[in-house]
Amino acid sequence: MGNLLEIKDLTYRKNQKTILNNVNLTLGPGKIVALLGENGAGKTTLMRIIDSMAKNYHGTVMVAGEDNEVERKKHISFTDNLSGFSENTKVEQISKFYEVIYQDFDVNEFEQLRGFMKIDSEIRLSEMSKGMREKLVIALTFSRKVDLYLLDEPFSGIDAMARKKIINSIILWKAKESTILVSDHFVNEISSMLDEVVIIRDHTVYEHLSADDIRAKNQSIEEYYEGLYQEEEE
Amino acid sequence: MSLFNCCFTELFKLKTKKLNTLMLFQILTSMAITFFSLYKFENNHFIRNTYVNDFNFITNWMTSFFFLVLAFGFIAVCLIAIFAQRVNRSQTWRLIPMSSTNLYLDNTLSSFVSIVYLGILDVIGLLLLFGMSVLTDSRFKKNVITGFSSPSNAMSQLFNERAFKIWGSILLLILITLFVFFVVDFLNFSSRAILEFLPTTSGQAFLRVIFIIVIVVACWVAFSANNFLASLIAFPIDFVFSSVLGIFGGYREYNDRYVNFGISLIIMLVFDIFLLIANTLIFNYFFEAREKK
Repeated sequence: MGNLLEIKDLTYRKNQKTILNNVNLTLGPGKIVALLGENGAGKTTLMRIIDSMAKNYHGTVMVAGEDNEVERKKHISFTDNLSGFSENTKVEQISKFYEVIYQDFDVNEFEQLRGFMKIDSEIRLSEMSKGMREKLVIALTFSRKVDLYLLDEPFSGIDAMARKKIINSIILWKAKESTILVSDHFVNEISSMLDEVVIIRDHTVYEHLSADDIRAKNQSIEEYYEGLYQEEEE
Repeated sequence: MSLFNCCFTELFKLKTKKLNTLMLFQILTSMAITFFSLYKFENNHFIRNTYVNDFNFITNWMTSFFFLVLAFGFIAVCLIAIFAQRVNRSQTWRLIPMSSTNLYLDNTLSSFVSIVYLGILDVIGLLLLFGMSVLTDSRFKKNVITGFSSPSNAMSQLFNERAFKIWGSILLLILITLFVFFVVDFLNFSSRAILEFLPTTSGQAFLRVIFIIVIVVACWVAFSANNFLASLIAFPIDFVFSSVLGIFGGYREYNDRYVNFGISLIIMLVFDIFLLIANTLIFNYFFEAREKK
């Protein structure tokens, strides 16, 4: 089967600064891939470009063979920041909105995930903590049945116990052929589920390797990742 | 239902929710204005002011409501225009698998239709108050009957020279409403697009400076374009109106007024089309959803 995501010669500038320079990346189907890098490395920007949120870039981005903005979005479920909803909106209303807008949104799946995350359907956004919002975003993202999931630091506000539970369950929520690209600072916690690691450094893809190759060197992914920066410091 | 229609429905629901609240506020404000203009508080009692008219409370309420229609209409247009900017910048809406052009059109169209919806609510409100006034206020009823039986009444002249004024004014109101939406969009889109091309991200203060520069430049361009367009289209309009009004006869003395009105309509239409095209292009290629975590 062909590649799910193909990025060729991608360059993106904003405020006269180069955010991403000559990025080339290919991801196959059915993978869980970590997107790692320092703060401001361009992880979020890369995800935004993949899902056509960021404009005016140079290069090509293809998802499931489609480079058209609309077609690409159909294949992607990106963690929503819920900015389109007022603080007064109930979880139930957000679910209804998703159901109306996205044909691939599975209400039953959402109800299951909502139950798993212990989110009340009657609760309003204003009443939710940062962690609860992030759980809701994860539930909404995985309730869409698509080829590519883009998770942009999805666990940062979630408590350690719940985070562990969610990370362990993610593999069950995605279809076999779906790919997850996840950016996170908790490398250690997500490392067990990873198939590949992509490191963004110096505005480009610095490394793209298999998680098994790292493990084969008797190194954890976290150790490997930290090692890259230690070399620089030395 | 297509995605365009689904988004339209959702946006329309969100916008009319705000307008329903505004309508409730308009009703209460008009009631309060009427009450406090008709009555004064003396000796622990509300007594009616003697210097006001003889019409009853409902007729006066209808008048207050009527005068508040324009004021609240303007507030509504501003409110919806600002809300539309939230939608334009929101990641939730920009993630929807539809083209930026369609999303922009959907947002603008739903804004416009929600204002029409407010207009319909206003008309219903006025008709209800009018009906209630006729039923409860004999003096008002008498005036209405006199007014309708008079040959100089506007209703009986709907198809003569006033028709142009009435329908022309409605058309101008529609074009002005769209113009307000497009101008707000244009200021927001162009300022932010410019800001993203400048060397640094300088925050809100810098954004305001850019806003002002864009406003000044836009005003200068609009003023120049207005003069240019006016001179460009004055002759054909003058020709059409002279011919048409000449055929129907009797209104030649109003020609200048008609010509100026016609020119205003066409200039407003040209501005609206220009801004729509400019906004669509900026929204498509330079205006990104807000990155908020």
